[in-house]
Amino acid sequence: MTRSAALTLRGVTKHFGAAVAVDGVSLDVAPGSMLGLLGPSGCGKTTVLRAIAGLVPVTAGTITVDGEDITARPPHGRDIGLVFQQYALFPHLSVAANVGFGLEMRGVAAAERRTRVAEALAMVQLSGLDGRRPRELSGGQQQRVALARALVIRPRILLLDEPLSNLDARLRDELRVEIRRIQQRLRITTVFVTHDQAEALAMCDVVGVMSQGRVAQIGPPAEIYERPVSRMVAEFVGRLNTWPCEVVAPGRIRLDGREMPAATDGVANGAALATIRPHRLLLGGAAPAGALNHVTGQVTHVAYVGDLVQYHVAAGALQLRVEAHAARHAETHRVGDVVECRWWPDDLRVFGA
Amino acid sequence: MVGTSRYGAGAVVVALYLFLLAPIAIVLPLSFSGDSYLSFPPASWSLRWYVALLSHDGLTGAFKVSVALASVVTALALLCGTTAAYALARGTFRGRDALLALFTAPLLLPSVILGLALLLTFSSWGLLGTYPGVVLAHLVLCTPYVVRIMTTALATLPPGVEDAAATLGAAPGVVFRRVTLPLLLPAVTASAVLSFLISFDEVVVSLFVTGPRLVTLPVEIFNYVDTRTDPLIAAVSVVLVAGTLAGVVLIERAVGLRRAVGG
Repeated sequence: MTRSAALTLRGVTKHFGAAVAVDGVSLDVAPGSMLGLLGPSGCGKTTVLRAIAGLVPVTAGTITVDGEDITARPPHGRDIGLVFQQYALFPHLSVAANVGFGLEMRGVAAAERRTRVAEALAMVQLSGLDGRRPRELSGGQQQRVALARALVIRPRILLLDEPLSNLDARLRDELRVEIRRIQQRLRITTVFVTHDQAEALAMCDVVGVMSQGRVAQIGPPAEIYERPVSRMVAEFVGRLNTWPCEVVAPGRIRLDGREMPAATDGVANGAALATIRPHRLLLGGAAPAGALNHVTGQVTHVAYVGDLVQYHVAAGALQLRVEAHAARHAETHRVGDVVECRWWPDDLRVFGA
Repeated sequence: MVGTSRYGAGAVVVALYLFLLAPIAIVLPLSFSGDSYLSFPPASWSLRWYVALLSHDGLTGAFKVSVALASVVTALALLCGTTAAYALARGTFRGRDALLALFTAPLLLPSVILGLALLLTFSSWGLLGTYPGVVLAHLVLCTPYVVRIMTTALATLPPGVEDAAATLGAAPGVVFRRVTLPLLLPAVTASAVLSFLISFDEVVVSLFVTGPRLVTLPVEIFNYVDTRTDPLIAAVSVVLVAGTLAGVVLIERAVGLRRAVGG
């Protein structure tokens, strides 16, 4: 249905007066793939999206689609579909007229318009609601209409601006799967902006983490999660233990007075921060025998959260947050238990302080 | 308890309506009086004052002047007010807030002050008692309401709809015609009605800027009751009330009054 296009950003910069919203962002989105732009609010991710759509003129840099420079084009000449967080449906038009709006603008004849609108509504599972007004639909239905409206024009690029943020959790999961299914079926090049790390990791082929107007790291979800390049990225994409340490040699640190191996990745000798994800800390019998780092500590707090058990463990000067899967036969610990806590050295990632 | 307080509130509303409508309730029988002077209740009944009204050149002439004037003023106020509101709501230029305050300042000014200021200015420009002068004076009164209503309407447009239309291929003019304007239509209607009624009703400022050759209906009525007290004025009032009601009903039929006030 859609031809896949490549999207390229080079040095895209946007100033609002003296404030720098986007600072030299360069990105490549491969044809048919889905890029997730992840970051805290105010990091510039939405401005990047609006710049791609042409709704925000850039201060510097270029945006190209399939090698064609579209930086100076107005939004109505870009052939880019945009889905908004607040749906932005036309309240005075029916569902069918909303979805057909873009086709009408392109001069598609009424008969073909009807067919394509019906197809698009079937794709988002809303057949039969053509005559309704947007306000008669639920939030989830409205966002499906918005998706159909953006896709029916067969845009070269699809942009999603936090499309799931206004929906409740159950609906969010459902629509997340559906958006990804449709995106893969149409093989449409997509940029998805979100502040929800689980959403970005689960849905996207490539994730770019943004901070203060720049791309801090870009790569496949597993790489972002497992090998974050900075403490900011590591903290943003998942829970984290952070302890002060000292790098004594490449690959070796001193943590709470003890020397041990760790992934230092070029961090210079001296004060640094050692980080590890709570589920990579293994308690007692859960840890396989082997060359693991270990500390011994006492459980100070236990929280059972259904699929996980979260422990706080005090080991010397270190406060450990540990997460274990609540498997049926898993060993459980109580407050006051003395436990051995182990981890693989390369899970302990060190960043400059 | 709840029931009692609801009946209490209902009673207050009824009392308020009675208070507001009481003058009209008295004017209506008075207009059908057969007497030559104002007295209530009338001693006899007739349609003579309606007949007299139709043949009273001063009042019918002034009525025509007022309708024409209010139409012209409304059209111009909508044009100026809507464009100004659009610039104020969409623009990001310096001094925007100050401009909005300036545009809506006449709302806070007593009409007497405004009338006097216009009198002083217009007399030196030779605009007193002229059609352009009265149009300008009424524009000063009506435009702030249009600016106020339209800036509010523009600010409360659903977020993103104009951007959405643009990304779907609509050029700015098309976005305005197909999305912005239809969504603003209730506000445009409300502004038009308000502007027409303000211009049509205006006495104080009109007294300052109209002249013997150009008299609006309220000024003519004012002059009339200054010299005479007969039921002709009651007949005029009933015609005006009926006309206003007809207008409201027409709008209700056309766009729905609830939509026009944003419900």
